Amino acid sequence: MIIPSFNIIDPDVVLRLQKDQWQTAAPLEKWIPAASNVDAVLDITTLGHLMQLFINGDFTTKVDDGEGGVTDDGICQIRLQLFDGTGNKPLWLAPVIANMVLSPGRVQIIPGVGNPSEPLRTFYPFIYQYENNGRLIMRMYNDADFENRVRLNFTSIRITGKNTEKV
Amino acid sequence: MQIFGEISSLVMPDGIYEDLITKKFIPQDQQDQVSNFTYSKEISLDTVQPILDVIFETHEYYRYFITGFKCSYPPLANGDISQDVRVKLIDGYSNKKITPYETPIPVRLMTTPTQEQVLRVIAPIYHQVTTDAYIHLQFSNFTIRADTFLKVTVEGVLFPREVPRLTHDN
Repeated sequence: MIIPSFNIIDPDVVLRLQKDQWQTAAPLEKWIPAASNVDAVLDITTLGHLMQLFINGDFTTKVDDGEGGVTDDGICQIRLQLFDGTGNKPLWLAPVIANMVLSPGRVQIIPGVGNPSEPLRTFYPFIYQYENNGRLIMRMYNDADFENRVRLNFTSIRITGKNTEKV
Repeated sequence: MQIFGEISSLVMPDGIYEDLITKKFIPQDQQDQVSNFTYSKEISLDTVQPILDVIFETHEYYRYFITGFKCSYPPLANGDISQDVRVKLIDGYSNKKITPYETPIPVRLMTTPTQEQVLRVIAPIYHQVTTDAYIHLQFSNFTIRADTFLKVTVEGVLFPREVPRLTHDN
């Protein structure tokens, strides 16, 4: 298996490994209505297991301007809770405010309103393997009074190998 | 539409790459043969041809292990949420292509734009390029802006490859 802390780079070995395991990335995006929560679901598919290594993401911070329109106050009102959808197992014990785990984080959505978008600064490491044909669920809470968007990227390793049957 | 990149530099490693990559992760008997590569290309995406294939030619004498990817992308200050450039890594050639990135990924979620004066993050891509294939990045431009300019950089480690010698019948 290729992980960032591998010990040896041998092209022949790596090429053989990559027939069964390779680095990939999985995006997930959802608009969340005001004052509500949604489950954003990533289907693992039958291609193989998915070992998640890092999580990145951004979110918007739209709010009602009080006059029937919308503005951007830059305040994160998004909370996230990660589940292994197979068996509905919570991986995060409670919803976490998004700006504590996500980078780049806030993205400016209304031209000229609020501060510019944050640049990517880090990858949040969270290693977990989702099984073949399972599901990854990110429950997204929007506590603002206007809809907002969350985009996520899960840097992962796809593992097709022999052990793709559900345990 | 394809753009073929040029080898912009073939440098010996220094700094962190020398320590982590060539000294620690390379077999001892190969360390004096291995070097880093950095390929860069400036590209322009537009709404007329929103899909752009960026290909970096590889040399038959080497095999390529990609360790990182970085990309400048449009300024973040204008707040245009329609800015959305996505990238997919494709390996192989002809009908043997595989796509390590199964779905295009927004570059904003992968790497820091080069114009930002903050700690730059290079997207980790640990991928051995199929022998004799080229390095292929496919960009999708979902922005509604007319022109989107990017500078794309792929970096990694080169391994020497034995090239079969020609034999001559006398």
